[in-house]
Amino acid sequence: MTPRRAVLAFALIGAAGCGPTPPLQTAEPAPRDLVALVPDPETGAVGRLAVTTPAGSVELTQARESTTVRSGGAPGAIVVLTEADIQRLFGPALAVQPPAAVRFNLYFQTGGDQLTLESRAMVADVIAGARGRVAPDVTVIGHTDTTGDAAPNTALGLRRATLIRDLLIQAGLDGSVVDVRSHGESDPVVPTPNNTAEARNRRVEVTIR
Amino acid sequence: MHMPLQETGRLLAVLCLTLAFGAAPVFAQSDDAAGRVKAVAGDVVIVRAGTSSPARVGALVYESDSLRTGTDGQLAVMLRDETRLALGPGSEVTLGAFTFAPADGRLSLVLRIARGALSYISGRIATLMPEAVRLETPTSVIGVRGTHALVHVEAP
Repeated sequence: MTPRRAVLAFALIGAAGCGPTPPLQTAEPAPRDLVALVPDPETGAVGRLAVTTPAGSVELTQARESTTVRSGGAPGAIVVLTEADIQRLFGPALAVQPPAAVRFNLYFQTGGDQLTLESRAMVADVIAGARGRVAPDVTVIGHTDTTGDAAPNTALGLRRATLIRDLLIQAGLDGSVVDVRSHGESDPVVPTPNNTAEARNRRVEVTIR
Repeated sequence: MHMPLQETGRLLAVLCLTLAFGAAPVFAQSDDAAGRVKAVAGDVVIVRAGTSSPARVGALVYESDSLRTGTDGQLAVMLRDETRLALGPGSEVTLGAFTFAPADGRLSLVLRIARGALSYISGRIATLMPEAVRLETPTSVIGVRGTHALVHVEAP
């Protein structure tokens, strides 16, 4: 009798004696899970994964580290996968991985919805970014500085965002995938006291994903 | 072709159910949706409330949906918080929970990988609140502290 079977038999005898019998399970072969940590495809950053089962826990912290888990067991010892291992198991998934979302900030002249000259030139990049994607989703968020009251600033943020949305639609983007909202003066890039003109806060943030 | 009466009745019932569900609107506000299909190859279906429909590029994905790829299937989905998912052939992944309301501090993402291969890249939920993200396999729970995880589950 293998140690694994011995443990199972012991568990069954124990369970039979002290409670309802669990459903009988075949011990072999248990399905196997594999978890691996790999670098972020764009930044190269390596994060951290904690793999936990009722029997134990393993933390992956380095590139290509992996652990395998069989039903009922603790995560196995860390194994560093080769690039070939990763391709064999995950090649087809990695081949269709979508590109990361991109973000643009467009800046406005004070008090209205006139883009700065530099940002007007950048609108073409935003349009190209959206056109370059398959089935894009676009979020457009308008912001203001803290000049004036909060309520009119929320309205101004919405006017700025709507202007950008309209430019995107004119360029051929489907309006139903564009989400427009305003954070008014509540979400500044540069925190300021109230009633402070700050060019970097007068912006529309466009995210294309 | 002769069919027992009982069988015919069952078929009719199934047909009626299919029609009732089929009449539901295909598109909804993207605010309710959890994400969108960005790439499909081969045989891929989205299972929603027990009904499966072929996944197409541009289709919306909702909380509780299951994504299933056939033996030649591949699928890519981008969630609203910029989380990226990609499935290899023979995979099944369920979007167990998705809440992305950062203004209210409500964030959650639970993915259940039943079989196959998943490539997961963190989005904003993981950045804002890492403990709100959980990947589950039949044997394990995976906590994500960034960024790119690969999970493979052997079919039972």
